[in-house]
Amino acid sequence: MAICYREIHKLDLIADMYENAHKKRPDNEEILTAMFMAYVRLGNHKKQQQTAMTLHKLKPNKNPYYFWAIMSIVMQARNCTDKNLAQKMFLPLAERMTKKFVDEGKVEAEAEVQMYLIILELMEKWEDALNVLEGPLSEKLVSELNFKETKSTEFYTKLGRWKESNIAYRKLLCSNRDHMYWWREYINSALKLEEEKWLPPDDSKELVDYTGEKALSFIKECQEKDKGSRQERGPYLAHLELIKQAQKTICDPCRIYGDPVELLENYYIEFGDKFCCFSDLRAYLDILNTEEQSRLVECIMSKNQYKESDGTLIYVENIKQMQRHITCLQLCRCMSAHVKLTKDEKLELARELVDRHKNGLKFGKELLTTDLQFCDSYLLLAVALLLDVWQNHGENSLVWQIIVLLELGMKESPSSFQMKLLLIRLYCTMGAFGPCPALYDGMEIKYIMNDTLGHIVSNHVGRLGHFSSACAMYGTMLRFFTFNHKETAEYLIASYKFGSFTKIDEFVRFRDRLQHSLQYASATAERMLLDLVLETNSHVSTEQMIMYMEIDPAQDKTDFDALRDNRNFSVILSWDPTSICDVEKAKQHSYREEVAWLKIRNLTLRILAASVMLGQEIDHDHQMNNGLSKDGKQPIHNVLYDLKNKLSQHVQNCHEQFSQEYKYPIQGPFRTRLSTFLQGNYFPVFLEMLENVTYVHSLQDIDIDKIDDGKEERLKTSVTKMLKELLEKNKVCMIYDDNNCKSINPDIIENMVLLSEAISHLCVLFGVCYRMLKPVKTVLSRRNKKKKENILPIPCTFDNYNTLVKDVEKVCQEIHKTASELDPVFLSLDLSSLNLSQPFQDNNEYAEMEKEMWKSIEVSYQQSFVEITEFLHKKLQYLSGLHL
Amino acid sequence: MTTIRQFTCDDLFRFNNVNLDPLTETYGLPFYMQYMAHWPEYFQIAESPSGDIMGYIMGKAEGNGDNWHGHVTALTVAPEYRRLGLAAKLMSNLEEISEKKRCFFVDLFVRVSNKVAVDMYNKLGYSVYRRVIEYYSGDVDEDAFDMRKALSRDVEKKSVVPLGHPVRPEELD
Repeated sequence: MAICYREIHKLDLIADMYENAHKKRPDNEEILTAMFMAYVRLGNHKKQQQTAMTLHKLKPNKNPYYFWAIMSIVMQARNCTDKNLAQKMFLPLAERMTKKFVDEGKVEAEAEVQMYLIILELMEKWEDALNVLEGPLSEKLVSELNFKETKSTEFYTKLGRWKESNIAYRKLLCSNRDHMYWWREYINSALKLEEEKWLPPDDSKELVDYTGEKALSFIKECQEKDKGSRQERGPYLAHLELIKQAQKTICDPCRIYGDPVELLENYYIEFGDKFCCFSDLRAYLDILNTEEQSRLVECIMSKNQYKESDGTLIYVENIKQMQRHITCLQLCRCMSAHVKLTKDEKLELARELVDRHKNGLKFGKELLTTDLQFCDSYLLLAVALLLDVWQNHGENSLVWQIIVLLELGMKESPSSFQMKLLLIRLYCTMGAFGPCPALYDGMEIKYIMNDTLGHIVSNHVGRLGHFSSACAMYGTMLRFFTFNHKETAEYLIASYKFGSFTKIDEFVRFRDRLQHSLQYASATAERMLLDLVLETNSHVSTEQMIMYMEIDPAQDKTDFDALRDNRNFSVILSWDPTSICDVEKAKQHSYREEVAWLKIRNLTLRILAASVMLGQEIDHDHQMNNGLSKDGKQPIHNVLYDLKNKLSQHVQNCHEQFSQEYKYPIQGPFRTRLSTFLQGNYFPVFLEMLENVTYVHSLQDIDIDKIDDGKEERLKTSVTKMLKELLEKNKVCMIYDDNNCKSINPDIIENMVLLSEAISHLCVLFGVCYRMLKPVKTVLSRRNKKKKENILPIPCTFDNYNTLVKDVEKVCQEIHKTASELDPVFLSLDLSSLNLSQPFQDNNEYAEMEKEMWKSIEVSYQQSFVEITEFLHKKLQYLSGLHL
Repeated sequence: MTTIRQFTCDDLFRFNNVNLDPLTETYGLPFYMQYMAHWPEYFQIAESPSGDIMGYIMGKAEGNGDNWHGHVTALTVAPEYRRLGLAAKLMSNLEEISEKKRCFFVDLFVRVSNKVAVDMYNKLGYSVYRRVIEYYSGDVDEDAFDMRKALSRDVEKKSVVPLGHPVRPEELD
């Protein structure tokens, strides 16, 4: 039965069930344990605590029960909003309870000591925590490697006991000279001691490095130790770390510990043939000033002279040499060397790198398809240069060349996810979603990757009119999120069982992070909006859909304050300096934009739902009581009124903040549809129709006295007029002349989709008016038929409404026609014959791939327009059923 | 230079550069969480100076009596951090933890076709204990080597004496 409840998500019923069972058999341990777990699932920590204490009283010899209670108290402290309550009540209680067991010598397990440490850490009682680590209890801490050592050094640092911290980290480093975190802390402690002018007592025999100078000699000592064997990178990077930290705290620039240019150069000499050399050094390049950076660029470039004096290329001879060259190129790019190049120089260098990539393939002949080609980075660097030119000089034809080059590169290196990620981005930027599902599936993106990488397709699939793909993709994503909630709870339970107390808080936070994911919220909104309009060809089907969706218009499902941005952008390589490409900054901007767009989407959905309910209201008997209906809810027309104002206000705010399109880097997030939506003026027509709905509703059983001539005129004409304007704006050609060469206008698809969506939302609102008007008309005409004299006047509203629907039908037909005429097949366009792009290379392979690309682009555009036309066709059916 | 530390849930949000490698499987959340909940000390991650994830190892301790052993469930290193000896370091940590837990040996399964990995494990002191027939399912099922390395508790190295014959997956305990 518990399993059943779990499957149908009625977790509170499980707890109730065990509560009842417990009442019948109060001394049954099993029932109580199950009850405890039921409360864990619910996250009811208070009840957890009570249940665990009952268990403890029942079985005082079983320690875990007692510690379950303590952990439950700690979780109450973690979750209560009042920090004071946590620090003054919950945590001290947990501490006392643990201490009691410690004092009575009852502590048995490692988990119990860990519990004690967790509490002391939360209370920031570092001294007490240190005492535990240095006392007899610490003998139980055996599972984790170096746990005692690393934990106590952490506490020394917290306490500002730099001497102890320094000694401890120094000792740890002697056991592992490659541990970055330890180096950082060690250097920090040495510099702190220097700052404090700390000196050892005369008779001290302790090894304390209390100055930067002393730290440096330790670093050098560590470097010496490796001579002759496999060199550890740690001690060399530690030297740079010392300068970096000193620069932050002591003096800027700091050159007393050596010349960083020389150090970086030496590191390059020593480790330049490793793939990771660039990422090792990247963080230390900003120690240098501009002049020093130029010096370093010159230095390492001079070591990579692969050109004859007449300009002919000299190719590298082996993989190591190649990687060394690639590292050099990456470092130079990161130190702005490419920024300084002219457009032609960039193109020339790109050509050279494409050539080197081709040549480098010979080193990877033996590789498996699951391996990456050693020379992939040459191509990716060439692409980075071409992207520069495309972005900065607006040469649209370049993007097609880049796509062909990447497709060719992928043939040689089919596992390269870098190429796939870039290709998806570029195809979508150019309006072609078609090739993306295969690329996406080729990376085996699943489970949690739906959250971190799903955005690379979810931002485009609907936008570009691939509606059926959109349904499938959102479906997969949402399945992951709904399953996870159930699954994570089971592992919370497991953590209690195994006494992995450190993981409990982590798991709870993890669950929240997924539950409040921006991606989850966005995918939910998009999926619902799509479901609501995609298959509905009559107002009856819309009403069914709304009922099935269980939307509460008065409540936003998204907790905007708790939203988390889990998108992962660092996966896409970029060798640009942050001054040029700051992905982190772009991510923050994108997050604000995404949230703003999500608010529009959620409000739109709630407005549509509220309107539909308003139209159905006539079916229900809503007795009002103090302005509330008998179920205690706001009357729906009030809700709708609030929502309309909220959305108007929000759109207004968006106009102020987001009407300027932000320039996102290719390696970063993609924009939302917000700016297209705002610039395209799609909102005013929706709002206008909402006003009409409100007006029609205000007539209440069509009270002739309430008829307002101005509003009647508005009902009759304004929406049609606005729609016509929207259509005119979108009647553009797919191909346009751009500085004497032909170019594709990918924006058309997005605009057509927005326009179709606008129509579909209008359909819903027409349907609502129809629902309100139809019964009145029936009653009136029946009555007038019966009574020949005393005929009631038929209000003009009916006619005006009919005119509106008829006129909109006409516009919709025209939009339908426009969309179908954009289909490349209809235009009998052969994209490959239009010279939209010059060939980057003059060879068969390239020409073949280019042809293939045009074919797939064509197919993709076609798919978009076919789906848009089908969609509009359904809306025409919808409208045809709405005549009074 | 590397930081090795315990794997946490937050790492799941940023391990894409490792897991997009075609030979690294991405599992459902329960799989990772089971290991984090039960054997947190055995699930370790290596981070680069720039904060990238370089690779990770998942393992556990299991078995009864003289079969009490450490097991390597997954070991992966991102392409750009290979050939730095990272896998060896992660393995040696796992062995050390298993020593502390008084295990008799450490074992792991590897595709027989994965020559690079088999060679590496050989170098780290592992030897083939037995062959498991069609252990990996796929378009074509593939055999696995069950490789073992004895720990100090197994003084006579009884645990690594090769089994003469291959076994089927259902015969594994």
